[in-house]
Amino acid sequence: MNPVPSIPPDDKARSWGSMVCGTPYPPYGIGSPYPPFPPYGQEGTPVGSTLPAEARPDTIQTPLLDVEETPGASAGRPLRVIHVGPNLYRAGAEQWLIDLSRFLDPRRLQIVRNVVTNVSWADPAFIADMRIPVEIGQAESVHRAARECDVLLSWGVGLNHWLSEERPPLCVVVAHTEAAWSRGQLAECSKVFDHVIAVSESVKDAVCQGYPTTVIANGADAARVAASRPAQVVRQAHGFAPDDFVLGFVGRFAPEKRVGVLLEAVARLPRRFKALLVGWGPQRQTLMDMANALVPGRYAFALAREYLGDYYQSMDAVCLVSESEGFSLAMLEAMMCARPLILTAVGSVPSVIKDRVNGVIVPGDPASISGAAELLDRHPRWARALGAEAKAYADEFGHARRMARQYENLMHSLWCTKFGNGHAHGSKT
Amino acid sequence: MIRLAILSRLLHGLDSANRFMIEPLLRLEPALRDRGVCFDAEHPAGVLVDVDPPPGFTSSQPVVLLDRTDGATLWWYGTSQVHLARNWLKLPQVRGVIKVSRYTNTRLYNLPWAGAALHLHKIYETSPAAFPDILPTSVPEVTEGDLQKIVLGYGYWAFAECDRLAEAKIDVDAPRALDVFCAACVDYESPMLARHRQLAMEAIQQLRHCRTITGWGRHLAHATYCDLMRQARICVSPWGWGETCIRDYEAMLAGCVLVKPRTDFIEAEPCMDERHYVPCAVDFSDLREKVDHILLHWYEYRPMRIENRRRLLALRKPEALADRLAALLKQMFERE
Repeated sequence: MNPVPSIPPDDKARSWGSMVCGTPYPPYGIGSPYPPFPPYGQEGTPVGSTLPAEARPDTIQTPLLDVEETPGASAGRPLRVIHVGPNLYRAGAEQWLIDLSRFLDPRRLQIVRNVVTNVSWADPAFIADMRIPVEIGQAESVHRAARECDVLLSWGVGLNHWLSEERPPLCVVVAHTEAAWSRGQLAECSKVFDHVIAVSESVKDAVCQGYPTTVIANGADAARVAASRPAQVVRQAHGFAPDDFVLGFVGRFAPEKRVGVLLEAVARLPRRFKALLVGWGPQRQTLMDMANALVPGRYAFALAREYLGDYYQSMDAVCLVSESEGFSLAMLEAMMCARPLILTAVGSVPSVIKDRVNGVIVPGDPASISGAAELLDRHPRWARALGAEAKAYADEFGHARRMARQYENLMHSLWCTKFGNGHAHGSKT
Repeated sequence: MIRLAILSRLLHGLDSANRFMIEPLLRLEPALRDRGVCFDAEHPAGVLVDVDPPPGFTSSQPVVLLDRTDGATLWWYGTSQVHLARNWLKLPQVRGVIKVSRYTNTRLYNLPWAGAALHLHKIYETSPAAFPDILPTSVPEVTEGDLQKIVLGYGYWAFAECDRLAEAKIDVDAPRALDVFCAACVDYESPMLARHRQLAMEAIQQLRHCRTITGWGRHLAHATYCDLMRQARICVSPWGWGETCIRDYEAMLAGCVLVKPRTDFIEAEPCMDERHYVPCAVDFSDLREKVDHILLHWYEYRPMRIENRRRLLALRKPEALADRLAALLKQMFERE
């Protein structure tokens, strides 16, 4: 693997190593000529085979990415992307894929298939939302994907073993979390991928060292947080009184999310502090037992597939205190709903949240969470201001449309760098 | 009481993974005994054979062959056994062959290609240039008398593997998360079958306007497979070694609309025609049209879905199956 070359400070903003597209306040719109749309399909421009791992473009010189436009999109054929991932149920990375595919410009980038390699359980609601043809398979399916795609986009699957003989034209792996296993997963793909996308700076720092990496912050689909009922109606439906303080969580009930700590925090607070836990996951039953033991009569669990805004708006604060994270979509969604956030400084939080400006950063122990909740309860105008600040950020930077543009730009730039203006295998035109 | 011995690969422990044909009989042993048929290896009056009979095997007693192979053609373990299967059928002590399906007439058994299987020929016809030349197989002719010996016993709907979907509560009016589902192996030894199945999968993947899942190979746990099928409106079922397969019946039990290549050249029990499935082209070139029609007229397919499940559940009832099998066996073994 090539080490990341040192780059003069002035040039950093022009290299992939500098994460031009993932900074919390990116310099969007700076008059940036965007790389011309590559004229795929031109005849007589053979490009040859894929590059060996040693020759990966980890120092691509590229202009700043402009996320507002998609110039030249009609000039050529879109890149065909096949996604390879492990799961067929809803978790952050799967929601990311849905949001990404929904907002990609099909004239530039199309996710034509989602190959799922490890189906232990299939979530019907997730399947209904997944508007990409799903293929369940392993070695054979991954081989075919490598043959038929322009770009193999993957996460969570060890590609080295399956694609040791047959590499896709371009392979991009997404690092979705800063957890240690993510580093291991990257290593298991290291012979195949050309480039890594980290969903936050902290993920890049934690797991992408030594790999050519670009940070593209996650974006969320604002439509998912639409509300269908007034907040008070939703609160009432869950048994909450108007003057209750509802501390909420939305996401997967998994150990790393530390939802139990939220319940411990509520247990330390007066009775009118309550918990609303929205989601699904392996810890659901454990958490229900825990809630019943710690905060009997002061909690509600809910499953939600759409109109998440109903739930966010019924929360007085959203509490996300994971032990590790990549770029939490729940955080973005809560921000879109102008909810005050209580968070641990993991994943993208340090780069997105300014403590006590657009959220409250806590160490993550029950006392710190309950302290933050009490503070928000005592200062409702400040809490509303936190939510407003958070919403302003999310409105400007948090939409999946921005993320999709950045993926399009990155893929095309990587393609141009690797193949020039030609086509890796002309049969796909 | 008719006492029968079973010469079975399964019972001899040679092929324990393959439960075809013998399994429903074993499940029904008490019910068959009540109806005058029992299994007695010591003093049999006849032999049920579910293996390719070993060389030199002779029986002075009447024999009924349980043809374990898929589909209507007569072959055991592939085309190399076609001669064996047909010659056995002609032996006087062979009273009959119990199969899952048969061709509708002797002509179809005696076409130049029928030694392999008629549906393979149909696949070949769709794009002959894609396949290496395969010479017609010369095999013993099937006569009208031979055809009379071929009896439709039970289909894959009788097997334990269908229990999960048969016992599941299916609400035909419940919303379904998936539009089209198909899980199938594509790595067949036969290049025609491999191509045929790949075409099916690719045609499904081309349905970009639909929610589709294709399972390539056997990577799905059975429970997940059943769950996905229950979530699907349409199940596409390409041909395999046989024209019908367990997937067809699973789809019907799951309340899906079954779409498969037109298979009107076989008889099966229960019968399968356009009242029960939606036929498509052998190369799946019209799959989009068929799928769109089903989705646009979903409510109109409701009676078909209800009836498909109802009749399979009725046939699967142990009493019904035992009645049918006991009657068949008595008829064959008591025939002089």
